[in-house]
Amino acid sequence: MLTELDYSAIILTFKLAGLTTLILLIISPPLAWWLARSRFVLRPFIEALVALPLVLPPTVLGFYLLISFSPDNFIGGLWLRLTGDTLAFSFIGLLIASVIYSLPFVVQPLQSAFVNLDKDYLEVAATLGFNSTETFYKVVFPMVLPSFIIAGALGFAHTVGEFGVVLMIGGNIPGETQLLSIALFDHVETLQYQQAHLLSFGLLAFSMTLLVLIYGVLKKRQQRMIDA
Amino acid sequence: MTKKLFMKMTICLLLLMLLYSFSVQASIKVAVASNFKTTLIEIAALYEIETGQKILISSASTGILYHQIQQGAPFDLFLSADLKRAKLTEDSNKGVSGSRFTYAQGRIAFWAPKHADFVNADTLQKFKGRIAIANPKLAPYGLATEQTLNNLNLLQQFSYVQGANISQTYQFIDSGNVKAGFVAYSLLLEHQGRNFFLIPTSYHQPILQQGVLLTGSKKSLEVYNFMDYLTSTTIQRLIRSKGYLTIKYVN
Repeated sequence: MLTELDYSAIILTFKLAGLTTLILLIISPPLAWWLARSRFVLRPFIEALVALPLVLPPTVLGFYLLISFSPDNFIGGLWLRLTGDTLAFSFIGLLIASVIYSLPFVVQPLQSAFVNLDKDYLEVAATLGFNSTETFYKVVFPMVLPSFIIAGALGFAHTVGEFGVVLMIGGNIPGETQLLSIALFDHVETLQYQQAHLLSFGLLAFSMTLLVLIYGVLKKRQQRMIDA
Repeated sequence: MTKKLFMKMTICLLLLMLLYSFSVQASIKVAVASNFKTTLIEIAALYEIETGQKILISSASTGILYHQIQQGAPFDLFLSADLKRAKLTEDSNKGVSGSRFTYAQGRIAFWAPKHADFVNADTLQKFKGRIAIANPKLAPYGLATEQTLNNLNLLQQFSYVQGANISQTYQFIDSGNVKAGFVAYSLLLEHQGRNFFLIPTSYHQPILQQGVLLTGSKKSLEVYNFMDYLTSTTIQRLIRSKGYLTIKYVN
């Protein structure tokens, strides 16, 4: 049966995924909007940078983070001076890693929604005398709300499934950095198949449910688009 | 013309592939625990020079290799980092019973690379804060570390960061993210690590690294020859120079 450590790993995983999603839903919309509309010369470069976690092995990200989090280097050193703690092997460190790691999963659905947004609506909004903030909240946001839900859910699910990065910079500290995927890895390595099965099946069921919900929303939205 | 050239090239390529497949077929496939990989590469090179027998090396953590072997991975020989997984393999239908042997015995060291003065037993006693250790549940070196700290009554003195294996634990310290910790002596020798205290073997159970012949092997004779080579005096001396203790067969 599941131990107390397993439960704390589950809680920690959801806490990390929740916070990561929250941060991503704040920083992604402006970034996605800019990527969708900008004519800036360096835009493709920025877009590639955002998309990197889609194609890079998570271990690459973990490796670079482990190096930059070191007190000998700028970021890690600065953090140590400010807080008296190291960035590696801490929840904050994992949070930073997760935000980078799940960024494209939140940005991309939003970006495609913004690209597909009919210009007519924006022009109508402009003739109504809406400023850009009003336009966003009264016109854009309601129209792309399904995409926001999809983006958030994907970001959440992707963070729950994180493994390589956490293995590299986590240090397996119970209640601090010992996530579900790491607990599962421990069980498999120590031949505790029963717990491994329980955790794996739980994750599988959770991911499947979430994805079915996502695609359900997606289908409805597409239908609405067609009907409109 | 180009068609002919293309045909020729294709035939050449096929011949090369055929040759390659023969050479691979003739080699012994060894699954080795990550910590022994670099040493095994050296031994395999020597063995090939002496006998012409090629050794194909696959490395991963002992736990992962054990699973792959249980799932029927096509290796001839399994060199585990511990006794447990070697014994489990031997007792399962995947390992040849009676073929299990000890090829090396690991040593651990307390390593504090940036420590100002000479690192010794006293440094360890007085050290405060966070140290890196290999996960005692996963890694044999981690278990030995736990036993050592327990014997010295120091378990409560530190907070711990755990590496999944001994190499990762080494990286945690080497990258400067943790000031000190327990690593394999062999890693310190390999990377010219300084400022460490070699833990006397009396503080922990021996870290026996054992190998076992796999039942799926069609080349058991060649594998037995290689196993003899691994435990020969010359090679055991080489293994010793890499930071391991060596002993003869253990049953």
